Amino acid sequence: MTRAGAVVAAAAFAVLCLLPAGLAPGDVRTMTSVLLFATLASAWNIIGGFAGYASFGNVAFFGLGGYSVAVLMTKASWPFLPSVAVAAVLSAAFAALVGLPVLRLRGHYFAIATLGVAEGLREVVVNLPRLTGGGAGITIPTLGARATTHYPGTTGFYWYALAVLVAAVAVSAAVSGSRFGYGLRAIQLDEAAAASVGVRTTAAKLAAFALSAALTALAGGVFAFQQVTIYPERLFSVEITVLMVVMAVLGGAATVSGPVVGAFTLRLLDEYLRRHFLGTHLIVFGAIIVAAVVFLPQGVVRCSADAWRERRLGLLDTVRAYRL
Amino acid sequence: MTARLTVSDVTCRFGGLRALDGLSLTVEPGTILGVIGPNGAGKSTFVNVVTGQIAPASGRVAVDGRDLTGAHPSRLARAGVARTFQVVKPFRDLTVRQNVACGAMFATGASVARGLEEADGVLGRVGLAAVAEARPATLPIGHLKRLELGRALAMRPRILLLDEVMAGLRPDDVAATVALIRRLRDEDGTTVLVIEHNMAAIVALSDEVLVLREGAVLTRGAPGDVLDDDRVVEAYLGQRFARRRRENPDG
Repeated sequence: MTRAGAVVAAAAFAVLCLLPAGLAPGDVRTMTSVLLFATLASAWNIIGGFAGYASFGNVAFFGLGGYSVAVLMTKASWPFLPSVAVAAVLSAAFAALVGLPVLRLRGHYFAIATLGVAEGLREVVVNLPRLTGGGAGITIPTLGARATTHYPGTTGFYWYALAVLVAAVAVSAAVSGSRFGYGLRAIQLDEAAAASVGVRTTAAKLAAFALSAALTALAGGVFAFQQVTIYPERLFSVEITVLMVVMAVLGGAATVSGPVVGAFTLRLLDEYLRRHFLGTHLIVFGAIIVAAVVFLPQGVVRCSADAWRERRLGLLDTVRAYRL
Repeated sequence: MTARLTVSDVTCRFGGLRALDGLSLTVEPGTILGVIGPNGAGKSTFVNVVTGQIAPASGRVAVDGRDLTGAHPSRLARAGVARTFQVVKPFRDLTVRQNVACGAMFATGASVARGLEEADGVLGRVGLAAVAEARPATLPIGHLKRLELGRALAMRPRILLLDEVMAGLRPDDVAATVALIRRLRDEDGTTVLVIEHNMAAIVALSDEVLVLREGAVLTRGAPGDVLDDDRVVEAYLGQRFARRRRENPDG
């Protein structure tokens, strides 16, 4: 990371640490959701951004993480922290297993296959009612003798979500500057050329997918505990997949800060529109996403970096540079 | 002494077409071998088999006596086989320097910092030091061909396959590239296989020339002798031209 990047990251972290003290509980809950989405987008970025394999099934790891935590806390009476750690390991292992066949596909085919994995996993969860509660859902005990971990409350979950985001950003930053990160970018830009210079393409893609899955599962685990009762449709939702992809891409795929910027912008915008334009907020939200794709094709982070470097400040100049 | 590269009885089929048909050859360390042949002779398939892009239907490929038939391209790269691509394949979001550093990082196991350092040396050798921080998209084709060469050189190859690396270069760039490849052979003992349509460059550069036809070796020898061979003229220009040449040796 550059020095300027480190300063901005430290300042942002300080603001996020002070935030709960100055916000109403409802707003803290909103911010917790922002942090979790930023984690999902950052995690997606490792496989979808750096390696360029656009996974449309990362929600499978979100669901697997959430359900692992719920099942371990309910059926095995484990405390939260070991449950969420095991959830991450399980998801990574599942990603490696699924990745072995699926990462042989590219582009649209990979996207469709991963979408299928997520839908399939949801069906498995629905059809294992003894373990998962099936379609009726599963409730994590939070009170009385069966509760394994004290329910952390609104602010408590904010800290969990912040910790998970810090982990995701730290991992992304480490990947970005490492040889592994160069290998992933080489795969993204030209897989045949990457192999011809010696990148172990299969191993690198599997590692990226597993890492992405583990971080996604951490967010899923925190979300499940926060929700107390979870249902298959709530965790394995295509909407979550689409949002994490859009956030990462609009913020700037294959950059460290892009997915975080994208998640904060879109999630807060969504919240603002929901509050002020209740009837029309979805259509306005959609129109803004379309406009962002047209005007900032490389994502917010890259477009502003390029514009700053080349002193190109008009919005239309950006369109001219990338679109014409 | 074991040959640097041994290809024995390699056959490669695409449907009913035999792109390589029992091809056998050996190349000694520190030789520059020019590989020529008419279109469809199997030159590109040969490069793809040696670098692992295509697994042969039968036969064997060995580097320094080590059998690497059908190994993944990345394994061959780490065993010291480097190539350039006829249609250039730069990593277009990385800078020229980072592109070249990738060669050092993944083939020789250098760290990121060490790879970038190595890249600086290589960029000087291929004459790209001035554009080290540029992105490939902004460079002309001549520079991109040299970038391909630089990325391959950073791998410190034992065998370097150059697929049309001089096509599209200006004459003075060709001369510089010829000198660079010679120096590589002399200083590093690299074995170089040059696949090229530019006959003048092949003759100037190669210790030996090998002619492929229909997926097998037609002939092999010193550049002057090979180009004078009636069978080679026939393979390129057809029987009628070869006969006319025999009947009228001065014309």
